[in-house]
Amino acid sequence: MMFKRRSDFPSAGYLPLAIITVVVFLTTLATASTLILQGIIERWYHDVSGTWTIQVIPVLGDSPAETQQQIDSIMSFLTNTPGISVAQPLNPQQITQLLEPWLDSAELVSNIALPRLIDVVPHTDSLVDAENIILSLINLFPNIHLDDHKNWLNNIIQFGCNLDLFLISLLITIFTLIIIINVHVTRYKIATHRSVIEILHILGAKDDYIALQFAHESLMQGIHGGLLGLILALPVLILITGWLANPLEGDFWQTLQPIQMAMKLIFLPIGVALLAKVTTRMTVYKTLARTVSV
Amino acid sequence: MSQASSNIVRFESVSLQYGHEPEILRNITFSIAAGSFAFLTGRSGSGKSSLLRLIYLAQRPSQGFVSLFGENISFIERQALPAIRRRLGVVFQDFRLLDHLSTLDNVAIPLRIAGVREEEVRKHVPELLAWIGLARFLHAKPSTLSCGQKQRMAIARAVISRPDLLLADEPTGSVDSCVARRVFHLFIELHKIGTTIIIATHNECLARQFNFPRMHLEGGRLLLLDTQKT
Ligand SMILES: Nc1ncnc2c1ncn2[C@@H]1O[C@H](COP(=O)(O)OP(=O)(O)O)[C@@H](O)[C@H]1O
Ligand SMILES: [Mg+2]
Repeated sequence: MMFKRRSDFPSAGYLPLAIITVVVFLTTLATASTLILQGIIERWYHDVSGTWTIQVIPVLGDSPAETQQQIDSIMSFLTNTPGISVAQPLNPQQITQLLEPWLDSAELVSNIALPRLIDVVPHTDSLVDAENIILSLINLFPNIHLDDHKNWLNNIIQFGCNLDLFLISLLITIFTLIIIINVHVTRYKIATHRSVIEILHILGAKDDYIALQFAHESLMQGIHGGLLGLILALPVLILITGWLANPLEGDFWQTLQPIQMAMKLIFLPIGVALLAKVTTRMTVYKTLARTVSV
Repeated sequence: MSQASSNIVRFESVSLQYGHEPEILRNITFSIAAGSFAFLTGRSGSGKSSLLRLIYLAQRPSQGFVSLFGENISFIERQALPAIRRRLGVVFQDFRLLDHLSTLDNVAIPLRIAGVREEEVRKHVPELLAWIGLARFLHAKPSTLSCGQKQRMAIARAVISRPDLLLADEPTGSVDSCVARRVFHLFIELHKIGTTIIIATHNECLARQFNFPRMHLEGGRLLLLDTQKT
């Protein structure tokens, strides 16, 4: 065992350790899943919030060349506008290729007046300006439609807030549970070792001498149980992320920031261990002050 | 007896009663001067162990006052008791060793409680254990030792921190006469360097062999014998 320190008390056995392992295992899974979800949401948010889509709906009767001309003038307007960093029209061939499998022939597709799409990425530091520019653009060309994905983003933000609340209440619940478990285990240990405590008192031990030994054992159980719970949760987490990564592909792992996530998760066993130590020490003080008369 | 201030133990009209049982000790008054060596005798069940429990603060009197080292313990807060208790060494009648600890760790407890450095603990404890004939059992658990060996371990634990007052409850009850002589030799050596010693024994012959004052318990009362010789 690491940090093994001599104790005058027999070991409390493996039950408290097993309880902490299970609690930390489940909490790690719940916390990590929440963090992963938040990561995914953040990525969506980032992908979507920075871009607007301008739909150019061809005016009835206009030839493709006329539509293209309108697109060109919108493009030159956008590229000459400060506050807009990228304005990328989706080329008509691309749209046709996308739709071809459903509409059988490319010829047929080219006959349909498809809306043309322009992806716009405004500078993040001049959002309001960019918004004004686009609005004035809409005034100039009534046949365009702006989609800034606001409804979609609001829902995502709301979901993200709910996740935060969930995570906070989960951690509060877990830490309360750890406190309750520790208070009871400590009281039980004090009751079991009454005679040892009495002898130590007679030999001149202060309550602190006893409390520190109990607290150290709790700390060790917290560290060992916590790390064990964390380590056991890792393979399960890798499975979950693998399963999530499949449909999301690409730079998913990078988005997750596994290092940052690990740094957050390691606080769980550390927090549990420190909480166990403090709770145990206080419980010993209180219980001895209440139950020992001489 | 010398002046009150040099009294290490002082009982004033002390009575002791367990629950609603009849009183074990009745209106006992005596004092023990610093540096004295006293025997506490009385038949089995006369209350010798109970009287010692009052001195080592495991029990509060039902009535009266107990003073230790000049302090009335009725008026002392619980947090102040450890400092007083560290000046005491106690050999319990039933040894009260910690079964899960080795001989070394059992005997080391008073030193560790007092915060003595671990190197010194590892030096002094084996020395004393060798002297008392337990050198081979440093790492043995009490349950593997004989009654006499456990008693010696209990004595070692009581004297390891050089207490000002040593209380021994039937300290030679389980050892053969050879070891008993060695144990008494140790007590007398400690007495010579200034330790105050109170030995409770039901064996009056043993007490009479020594020229020390005797306190005798009978019917809950304390009779002082030979107190003029201190
Ligand atoms: N903790 C206790 N609770 C109730 N009765 C006790 C307790 N300790 C001792 N007694 C009783 O007090 C009497 C004196 O016991 P004790 O002090 O051990 O005498 P001695 O040491 O002289 O043999 C006995 O009758 C014993 O049964
Ligand atoms: Mg007795």
